[in-house]
Amino acid sequence: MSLLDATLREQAAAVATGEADPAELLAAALARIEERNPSVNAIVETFPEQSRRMLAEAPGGPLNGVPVAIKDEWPLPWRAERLGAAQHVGPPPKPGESGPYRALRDAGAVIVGVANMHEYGAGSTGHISAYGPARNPWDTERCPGGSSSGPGAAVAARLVAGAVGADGVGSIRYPAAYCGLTGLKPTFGRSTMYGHHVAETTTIVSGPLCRDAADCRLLGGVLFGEELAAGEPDGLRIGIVPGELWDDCDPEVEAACREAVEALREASGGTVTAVDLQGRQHVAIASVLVGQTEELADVTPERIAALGEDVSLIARALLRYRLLIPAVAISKSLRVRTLVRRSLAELFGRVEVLAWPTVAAPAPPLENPTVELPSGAYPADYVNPRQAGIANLAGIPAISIPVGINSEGLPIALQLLAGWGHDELLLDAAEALERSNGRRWVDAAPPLAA
Amino acid sequence: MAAARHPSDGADGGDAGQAAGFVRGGLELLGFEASEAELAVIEAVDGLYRPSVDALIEVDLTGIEPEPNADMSRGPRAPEEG
Repeated sequence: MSLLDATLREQAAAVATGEADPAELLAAALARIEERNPSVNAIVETFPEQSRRMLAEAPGGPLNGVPVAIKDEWPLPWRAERLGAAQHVGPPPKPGESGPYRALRDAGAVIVGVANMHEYGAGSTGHISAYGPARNPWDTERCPGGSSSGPGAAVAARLVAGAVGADGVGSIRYPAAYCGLTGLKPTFGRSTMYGHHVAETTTIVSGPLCRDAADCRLLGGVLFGEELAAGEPDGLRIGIVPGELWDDCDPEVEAACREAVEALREASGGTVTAVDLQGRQHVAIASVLVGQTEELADVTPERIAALGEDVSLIARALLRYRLLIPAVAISKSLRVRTLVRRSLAELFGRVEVLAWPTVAAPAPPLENPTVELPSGAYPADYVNPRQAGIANLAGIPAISIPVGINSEGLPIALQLLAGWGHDELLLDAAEALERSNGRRWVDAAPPLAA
Repeated sequence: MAAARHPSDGADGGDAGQAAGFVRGGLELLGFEASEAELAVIEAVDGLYRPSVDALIEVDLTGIEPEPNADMSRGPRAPEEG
């Protein structure tokens, strides 16, 4: 078995103990990208010279000599972000040292490639990108999830063991769910966001996509700039919100997630309680409206008109559509945000985590990213924010954990959400769940990487 | 696989012609040009999201205490904390 198939922490340990030569590990990662990436289109650019320089100058640290990937949303000193788009809206950004770059560099990690993403970050599927769509390693005709499509596909295909994504309306959790990975959306403000193109965001966070929770703890700690202590959840109080978050899901998804919640309850000696959340019928639209309007300050008629046909028709249309969103709807979205934050604060006094499926259905086809739910068939982009948007709207942390594989061989994922600052509890709970099922789902490899 | 359908199908989803007029007229007023293909996509997206946006606009949210200077990295402060 190649060391590339090991976890992030196993790779780091192998380098730290001298068991592995980091230069050989980097060469192996580049070779694997060369070999496997054409099937998944996860990595859009490699830069061996800069990677070797990072390795040569690595200062030591928890990821010393370990190859990782970074989403095309972050500037690097040698490359400006392109956001999966052929053109920027407005002046193109410049290369630079983003927060995630600095955090990785200072941890000794080696950035081996830039990972694909849904064009402008404006989709939950990853099926649109100027580089062509990233493909799901579990079924390359399926969506990998977005907008962190490349990080998800790269880790699932075992090109790297960890990747940095960004999550504004679920963009780390969707690819984690579709690709059978663990993805952490940190509490707002805990992970570095320096250098992001939406400097005034109140929703977007950087975060890790890895195979399991322990790797997310390691990479997340690097992005947080602090070690994330591990603990054992004891008597975990789990909250379930009845209604469409559970009932309007693919039956296999609902069943696997209910089984996982019960396993987590049993593993921690905890409880499961039905709770309700005020304003939840407006959460999805409020999270979309807040998330999609934070970057409108850069828009002018001239900049929109300048977008050519190398930008997708959907992106050109959506950029215009956002201008028509009534101000009253945005204002009310912010009021819904307040209502939801207050309701969550009250709920997290009674339960420690909330649980529901990360996505209502497994990865849809790239050709037609539509999902079938008990209530009907919808574009995945329409229903996904219903499951994930609340964490961004409220600022709370959330984690997507693989909990099954459906009858078509596609991953199923459970989402756990916790109160502000309790990211570690989510990692603890995810690890408890992994242990309860013998790591069956986090160690499962897609056919492409088996 | 069945064709995608909106949750409000069969309900009163508003007048499609009126919505198209809003999209075209709104962009024109703002000085943003759009091709017919772009307008068709915008109208389809509007048809999908309009019911949720309308429901949000219609809901009465008075009585919810505002959260001035909200800090998303922590829970909401009590109103008296300012």
